[in-house]
Amino acid sequence: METSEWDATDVTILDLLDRALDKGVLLWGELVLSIADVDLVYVGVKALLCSVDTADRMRESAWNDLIAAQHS
Amino acid sequence: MESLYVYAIADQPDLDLPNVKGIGDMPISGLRAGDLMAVVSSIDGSTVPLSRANLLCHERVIEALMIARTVLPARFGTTTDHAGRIQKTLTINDDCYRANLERVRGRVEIALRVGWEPEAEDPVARPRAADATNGRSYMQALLERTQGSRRRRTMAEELAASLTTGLAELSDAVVEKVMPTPQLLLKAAYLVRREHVPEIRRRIEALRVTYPALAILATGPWPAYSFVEEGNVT
Amino acid sequence: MSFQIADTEYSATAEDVDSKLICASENIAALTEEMMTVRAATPNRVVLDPDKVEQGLAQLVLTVIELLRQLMERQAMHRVEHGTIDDAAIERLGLAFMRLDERMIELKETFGLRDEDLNIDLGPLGKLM
Repeated sequence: METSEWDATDVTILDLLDRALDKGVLLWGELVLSIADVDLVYVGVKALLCSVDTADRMRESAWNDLIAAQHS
Repeated sequence: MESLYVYAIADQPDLDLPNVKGIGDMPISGLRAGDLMAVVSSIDGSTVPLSRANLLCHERVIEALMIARTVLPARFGTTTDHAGRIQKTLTINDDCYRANLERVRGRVEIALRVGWEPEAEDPVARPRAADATNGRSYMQALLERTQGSRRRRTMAEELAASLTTGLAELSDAVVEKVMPTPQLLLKAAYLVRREHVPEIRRRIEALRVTYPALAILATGPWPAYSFVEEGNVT
Repeated sequence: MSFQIADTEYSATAEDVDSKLICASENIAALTEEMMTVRAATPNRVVLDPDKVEQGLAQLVLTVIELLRQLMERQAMHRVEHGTIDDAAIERLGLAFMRLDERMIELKETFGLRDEDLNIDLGPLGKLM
């Protein structure tokens, strides 16, 4: 995001930005936004909560890696 | 590959669409499912860059639709590479979207943010382990912090309530968050009938005068972004 | 381009969006700072950018740990306030929380994460921190 595009004094458009990115109908769980040619995947909170078992598995293996890194 | 960008869900699918261009100057069209429609346009590629121009375009289409219809604004960046998915989600969530449309019919959103500088007497930062001599003193520090936070929150809630009673009574629905961050006393959105907009504006301006120590920022009228409940995501 | 509906005017061109300003007191600098910061940091979005997968996972894990830490602290404080915990347990719990605090600081440093990065938005429950 070009910071020069978003001026801190431009409060109305910043408010709109906050609204339009965070609110409004979420038709499906994942939105892909690109900023400065980088694709970011926004995983909606509901969608994330629905795949708790995936998160569990990720957490466990990431935690094990962290522990291993601590002990090495 | 061509994809579709979704601006909003609207009613009255038989009505003509307004003469407004979508993102990338593309024409808008309606995808119908029963009594509902999704308003879309074709986009190049599968994502839409988050730019000032695109955000304004998104908003412009929604507001143009609002002239003759009731509209549920979609979140910015909603795209798909097949129309069927849109129709499917409209069908599955038909009841939900129609209830949403009824809730926002003839109404707009007014947004309010209030910043404050609370007295910094109460400890609200987490105590650091390095500062504690033993477990007991750390727990004592945690307790003081808990109680300080609680006092601050009570103060915030009381102040917020006195600010917002006059606004809530003009509204059909309210979303309020007290102290979402330490510097933000209140972040709120009010769903008001169009005819009440001048009065709510007056009341907000009156708040600014009554509470000079608070930082007050209000914007609107906006489409009812904060008042659309999600259906089941497909 | 502006539209008229009853007595309310809608407009959304670059020039006209200023008309959406209802009221702004003089001291709103901190508010706009916050709005800019939220956009820049996006703390409540997990960024799964291929170059930052490790950091993204650490962020996820540490956010969960932070959530658990706060839940445990809350429960401990409840017991302390209601007197349902003895002195020995207070000392033990205190030491455990101290160790956890030190460990969290280390882990955040290792992965280049700040407190803000773990400050997930729990919707109706507000932000984590």
